Amino acid sequence: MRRLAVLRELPDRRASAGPTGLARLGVGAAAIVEVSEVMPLLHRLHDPSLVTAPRIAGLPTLPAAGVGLFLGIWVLAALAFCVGWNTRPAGTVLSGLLIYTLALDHQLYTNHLYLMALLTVLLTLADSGAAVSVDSRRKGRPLTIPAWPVVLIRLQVSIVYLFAAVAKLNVMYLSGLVLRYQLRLPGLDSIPPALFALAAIGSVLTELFLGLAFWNRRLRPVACVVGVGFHLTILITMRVMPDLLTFALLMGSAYLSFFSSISSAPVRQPASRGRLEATPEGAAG
Amino acid sequence: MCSSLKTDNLDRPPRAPRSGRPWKRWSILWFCGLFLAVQILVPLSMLTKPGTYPFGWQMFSDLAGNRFEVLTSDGNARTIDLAEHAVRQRDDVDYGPYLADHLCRIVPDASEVVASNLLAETAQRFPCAG
Repeated sequence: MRRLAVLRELPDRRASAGPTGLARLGVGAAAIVEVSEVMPLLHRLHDPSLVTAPRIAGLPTLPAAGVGLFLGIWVLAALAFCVGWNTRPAGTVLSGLLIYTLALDHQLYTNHLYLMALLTVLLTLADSGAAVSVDSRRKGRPLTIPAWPVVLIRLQVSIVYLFAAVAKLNVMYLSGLVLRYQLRLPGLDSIPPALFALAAIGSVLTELFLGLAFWNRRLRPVACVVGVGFHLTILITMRVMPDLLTFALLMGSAYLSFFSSISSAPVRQPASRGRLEATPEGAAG
Repeated sequence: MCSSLKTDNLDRPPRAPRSGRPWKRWSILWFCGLFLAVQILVPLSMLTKPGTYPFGWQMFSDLAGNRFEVLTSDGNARTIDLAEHAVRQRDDVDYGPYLADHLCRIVPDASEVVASNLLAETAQRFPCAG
């Protein structure tokens, strides 16, 4: 009941802007990197010798001549979002482009593109340009932002890890076969199958831990170290490098939401330069 | 002033009076509820089905085991290398109907396309029209 009351009060709460500004920087950088992955795919969609799988029938397709312009706008919007210049318009445009890409064809979907779209939408709604941004330097934006998008980003981190863990609770994965197929380690054939099974169980436990531990103040630093180690291990040992690099960058950025302190104080109008009179930045949250 | 501000991690009851317009409060609450409902119910619904699906956070959780064959009118079967026909190979895409349309169009004498899943031991048949 107490938790429910806390959720009801969520629209009134404010969060410190610093960590969310840093998260925006990471997500914007990931969106810039993502262009190199999406560009050849958008061109391949126009190759008549290849199969297309439209996700939404009747959605206008991107003409071949428009791919360059589309990606140009993507880069500019991602760059503006990354540095926090006109953050909300840039975030809105970038969100639109990401959602359109996801809707265009089944083959364009990746989990990191989907996560990027969700985080961009939430960071845009969070007014993440309020700190670590050109906007905050120019306009002197408030040091706090609405807390509810920050809470949704936290929940998203848990949702990603917990569903990733639960989906792996199947015979194929736990036997180690999936890892055996996906890993790109030297001397893979000489590794005993039991070790793959052990690694599979370890990965599920790690994801379960990450899905829960960030919510515990004491475990949070440990979760950060485990999370960074987990994604580094994936990057070093698995086959799909660029995708996983973007995914690691996005998850790392989302971790920062757990370091944004959430205040239950009423919203105060700024006295000067749009700053709040007191912001409990750095306080546990 | 600092003392009037309390920080917490959503584990303390709020002390702030409600602020903002009621419609704004309710739209935020509705948005949060809808966002979480989609983020929880969509992946949850996919856990009941074998294989991997998009929007379910099922990264590397299973192998696909898909095989595609095109049957020609003279009764011959030819295994299709998906990499030669797909924009990108993904385990969470159901290529069957799209690939059938495509192969029926580009393979001369194609009469049927068969999409099998070797792990689930299922097969879908897509006859070519005409």
